[in-house]
Amino acid sequence: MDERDLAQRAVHGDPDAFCELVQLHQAGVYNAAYRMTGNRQEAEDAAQEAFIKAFRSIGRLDPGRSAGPWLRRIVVNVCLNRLEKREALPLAEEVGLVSPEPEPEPQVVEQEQNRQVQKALLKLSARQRAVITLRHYEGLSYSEMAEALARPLSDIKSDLFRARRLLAEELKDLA
Amino acid sequence: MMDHLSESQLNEFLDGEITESLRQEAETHLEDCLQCQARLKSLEKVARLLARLPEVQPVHDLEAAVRREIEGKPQQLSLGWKVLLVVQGGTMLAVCLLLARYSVRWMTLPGSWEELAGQVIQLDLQLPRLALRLPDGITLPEPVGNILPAVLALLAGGALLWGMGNALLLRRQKEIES
Repeated sequence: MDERDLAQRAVHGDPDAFCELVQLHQAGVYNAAYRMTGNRQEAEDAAQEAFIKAFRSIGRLDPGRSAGPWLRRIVVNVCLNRLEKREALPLAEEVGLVSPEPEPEPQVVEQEQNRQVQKALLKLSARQRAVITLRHYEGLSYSEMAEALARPLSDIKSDLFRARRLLAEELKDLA
Repeated sequence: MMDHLSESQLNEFLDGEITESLRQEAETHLEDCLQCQARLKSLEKVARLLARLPEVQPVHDLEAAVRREIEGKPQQLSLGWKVLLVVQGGTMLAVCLLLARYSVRWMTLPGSWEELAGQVIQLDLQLPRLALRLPDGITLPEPVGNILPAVLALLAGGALLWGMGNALLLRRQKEIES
């Protein structure tokens, strides 16, 4: 069964079809949450919350389109709300941690770079992380981001440009 | 000749969110301006580093957790249940109205604004006076006789609602268990 059929059934309240959509898109939704939170457990909680929210508002899903972008926008908003409600999470886990096994030199360098990028992302405000995630991982245009986050276009641009400036400063020593 | 590109122009250029004429102007400027070239490269490097972050996989199966959550809670009512709910609600309303119609005598309205004002001033508002139409010869002492029909109507409505709610809950529980 293709995704369009699943979406059609899910929109009509079929929980099995919705769960198949979850299976199909859980990696993408989880990744978006991880970019926002930098923490595996928090990302899983946020992804789960986003799926539940999506199920409760399944009527808003357009069965003619892939559910992925819709679900990932929901999870970015869920993360944004969670992050704004609390202080920045400690960096409990970082992308690209060196494994106990010895690694060839190029991989170690790349892992260290990834760790620094993830660390730099976590220095951004929640709103800045949201626009970076939507722009760089979801490929949304400025106006689409404004719609997804329900904020003025000028705020979106301001957050995005400032976030990039901060990231450029943090990552200036990386190749 | 254009001045240096602003931060906004550089970002919009990078994202392709710039008009065609401004894009051409920016490209011409970038060909000759080393400073703007360096600023653009810095933004491109950020984009490249972000794109290089590896995908991560969830440790736990999210589908199982989501399934437990959505199947453990009542979902949207089907059309059939919604119709039944409306019919039951309408029936309940009709029962209450009939009860009121045959057992309640409405207040007498004041004949004029002056009369109403007089009633208000004297704190003598004629609140709805309720009275049962009992068989001849049987009377109930006030105020029991006045409020009894209203209490009965409330009880009837409440009982009907309670029954409807229980029926719905039991039905949903059976669906979930099956």
